[in-house]
Amino acid sequence: MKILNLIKKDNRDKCTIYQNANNSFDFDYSVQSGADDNGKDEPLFKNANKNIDMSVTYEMKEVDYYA
Amino acid sequence: MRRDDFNDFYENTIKRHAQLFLENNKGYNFHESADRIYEEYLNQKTLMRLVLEKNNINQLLDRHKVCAAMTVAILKCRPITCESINDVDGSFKLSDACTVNEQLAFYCSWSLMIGFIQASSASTEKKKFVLPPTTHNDNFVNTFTRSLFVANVQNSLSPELLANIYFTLLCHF
Repeated sequence: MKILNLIKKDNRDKCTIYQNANNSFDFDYSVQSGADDNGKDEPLFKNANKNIDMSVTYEMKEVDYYA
Repeated sequence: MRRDDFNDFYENTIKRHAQLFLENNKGYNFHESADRIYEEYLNQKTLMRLVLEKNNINQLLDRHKVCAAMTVAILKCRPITCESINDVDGSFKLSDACTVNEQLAFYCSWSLMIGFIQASSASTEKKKFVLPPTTHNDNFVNTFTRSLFVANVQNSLSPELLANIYFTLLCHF
């Protein structure tokens, strides 16, 4: 993986990279339920689409890093 | 991803997150799944190459595609099981199921993504990665993992769609 070349370049080992990555986000370890009783998750996603800001766009561009 | 790279990832990320799930929730078991997850990852990665016509073997896959393949691999292998799951007189409902494997799949893949970002730029090492807010009544992680759950139940998991989601998340930072 190219990630390993990048890591070697700045002398960090793989474990450090993964440990830093694991600590860079506030993970919540409480287990969630699968879906609502009718399996459609309607309460969870109710009106979700209506509230999406469609004016936000992202430009697709060439990515430099590969794995 | 070569096997020794995957083994590092398995030991330092998949098992670590799984252990924390077990410590925080009673009645769950983790099953060693390195061989299964790696094999499924290779299947997903190779299928993605075929579907996206990435035929040049010298050009590696983008990191968001690698994370998508890893998400599907963990999700399909389901390394964590729930002891109490049962179906008495057909009473099992989807709301009785849990999304712990979906959460694990996303946490591990998200860690991998952050690892890629941090490996590419030392300045991001101390950065806190906060996922985008949602406009409805639950946060991004719960929405995403429950969507993975429903997609898996419906046999409609799409690694290519997941790759697009990861790419959009990359653009967020």
